[in-house]
Amino acid sequence: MHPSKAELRLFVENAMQDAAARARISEHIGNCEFCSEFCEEYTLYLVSIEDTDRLDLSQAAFNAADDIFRHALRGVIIDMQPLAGDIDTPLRLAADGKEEFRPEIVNLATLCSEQPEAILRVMRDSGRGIDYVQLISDDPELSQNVMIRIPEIGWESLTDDEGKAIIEKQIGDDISNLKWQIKLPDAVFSMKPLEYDPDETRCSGETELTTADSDRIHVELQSKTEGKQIVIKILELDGKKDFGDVRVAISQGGVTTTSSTSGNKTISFDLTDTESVINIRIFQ
Amino acid sequence: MCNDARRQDMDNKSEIIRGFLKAPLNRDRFDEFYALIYRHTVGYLSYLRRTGYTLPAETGGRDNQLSDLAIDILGTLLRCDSTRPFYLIFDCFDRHGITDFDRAAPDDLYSCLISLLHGHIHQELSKLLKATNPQIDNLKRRFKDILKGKNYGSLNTASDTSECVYLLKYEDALRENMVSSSGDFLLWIAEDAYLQSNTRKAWCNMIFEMINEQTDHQNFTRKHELLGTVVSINSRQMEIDTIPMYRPRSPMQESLHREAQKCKSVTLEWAKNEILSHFVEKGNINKSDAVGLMAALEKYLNDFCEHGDTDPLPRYFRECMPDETHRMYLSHYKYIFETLADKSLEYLKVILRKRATVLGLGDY
Repeated sequence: MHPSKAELRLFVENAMQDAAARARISEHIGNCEFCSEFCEEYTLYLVSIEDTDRLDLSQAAFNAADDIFRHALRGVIIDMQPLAGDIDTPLRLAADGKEEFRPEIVNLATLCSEQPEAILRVMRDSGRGIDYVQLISDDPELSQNVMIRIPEIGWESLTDDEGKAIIEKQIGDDISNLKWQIKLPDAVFSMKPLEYDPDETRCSGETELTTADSDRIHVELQSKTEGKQIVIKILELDGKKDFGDVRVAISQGGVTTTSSTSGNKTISFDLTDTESVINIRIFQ
Repeated sequence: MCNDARRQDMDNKSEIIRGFLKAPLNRDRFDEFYALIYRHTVGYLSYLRRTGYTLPAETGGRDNQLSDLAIDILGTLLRCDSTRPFYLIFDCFDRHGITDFDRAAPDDLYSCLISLLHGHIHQELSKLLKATNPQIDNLKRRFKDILKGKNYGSLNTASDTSECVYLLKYEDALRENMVSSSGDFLLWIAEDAYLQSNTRKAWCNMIFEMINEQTDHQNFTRKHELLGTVVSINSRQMEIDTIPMYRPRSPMQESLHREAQKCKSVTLEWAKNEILSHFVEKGNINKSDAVGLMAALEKYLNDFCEHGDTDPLPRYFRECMPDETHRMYLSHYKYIFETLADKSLEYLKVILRKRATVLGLGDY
């Protein structure tokens, strides 16, 4: 009878504490073709695995990991939870004196998510008379130009390049108990703007953009005397031609414009900038 | 690496896996996890290359080749669908019953992931290369060489066009009209012979000797079927699978192990009174059979409690009832032993889970 694989592993790892068992296995291995080969193979396996235990990741591996992670975030809906021990009112200091300190901007509520890590602050700017949200994350792709929404009251808005979005709707006082969500884009494209040709008053160019996830859009850039425009038609999302209603957001030079579309309808946006990259995000 | 360092290393890796499983979309945890599986994949590919695998054509240096290959392989392992990121990984843990990641044992987390990773690497390599496993090719060649030796003869029977092999010394007494030595019967014999031999040559010889003793069967067998059988047994034995490396038990694991041993005794008593006695009363088996089956059951439950894993059931039966033939096992004992083993394992798991919960020892 051969020793079990577990015993042979212990033997190879020099971790067998029972001296008699070790001697028995050693003797067996000396006479057994099968077990001696297994021990050789297992030694080779251990050496190979341990050789790479401290291996640095290549740049290509870093890039691949980044691509995989971004793909995993595609279209993800993140439920935000109220932060425990959230302080809704500003901390008063003795030096503030007896007069009540009324800062112009106050934090109404703070919500957070552990995965992916993000913090959402609901703020009131008394000076400008607005409420707004500020989304904070180490990863700009998690805070810039993403959708913030409260499905139960039918409110949604896109953050700008600073992660801010104005709340145009009355959301009541019980802010922390609303179901705040972050919705990440289902598809992201970016492209350079149409180059300006001073000799041409009207010109246009069209192209088809695709992603590795089988998203496909047709884009036409038009330069007319009255300004530049981008016309978009969504051809496929995640390989599907029937993708229902979507929100499309175009961002350029810190300005974001959104529009809704469905099926094979085209939508057009005015472009204000001739230099900056155009980012197109689609939310299903 | 010494054992303490190896243990520490395993603990660290298990915690990285746990962290990822609990929060796969946390960037830091994902990055740690990716680095872990990337390194392991490169290491495993390096091991395969050392054992004779031909990896896809080099695009850069040898190290780049492994790195690029690992990246491709992990790209398919970490697939996402529209609602479930990294679903291949989560499905695998689910299949192994590991769903409470907080309470899962570190060894189980590591073992499950490495098992998935190795399987996926082989699957992707076979897709990329359309190549066979060189280890298996090598085993086949060695067995073919043995069967070409002077002790063996070959024939084509009237009823079968495939080449059959036999021990030359029995050439004058070949039993052509008996039941063919194939399928489960051949596997049964080959496994038994494997346990009793130390070289491939001796193993082959013993298979034919044992077949010859089974006078109700043909004392020769189809060459391709024999090769398939011995290669599958031998390669299974050679497989570097994923039973965790040696780890002394922690105090909690030690307590859990002691509880498992107690529950095993309770289960054996229960199985004897509640299951086996009924088979004896009905006259399906006699008392002597019951003793043999209980011994086999004890070995089976012991393996489960010690290693969390068991061998195929017939192996326990064969070890404790060596005089019974494979045919008798199939016709007479298989149903009884399978019922006994399945119900007992189920019972053991239930009472062990209850005990572990009561004592606050975590999930078993």
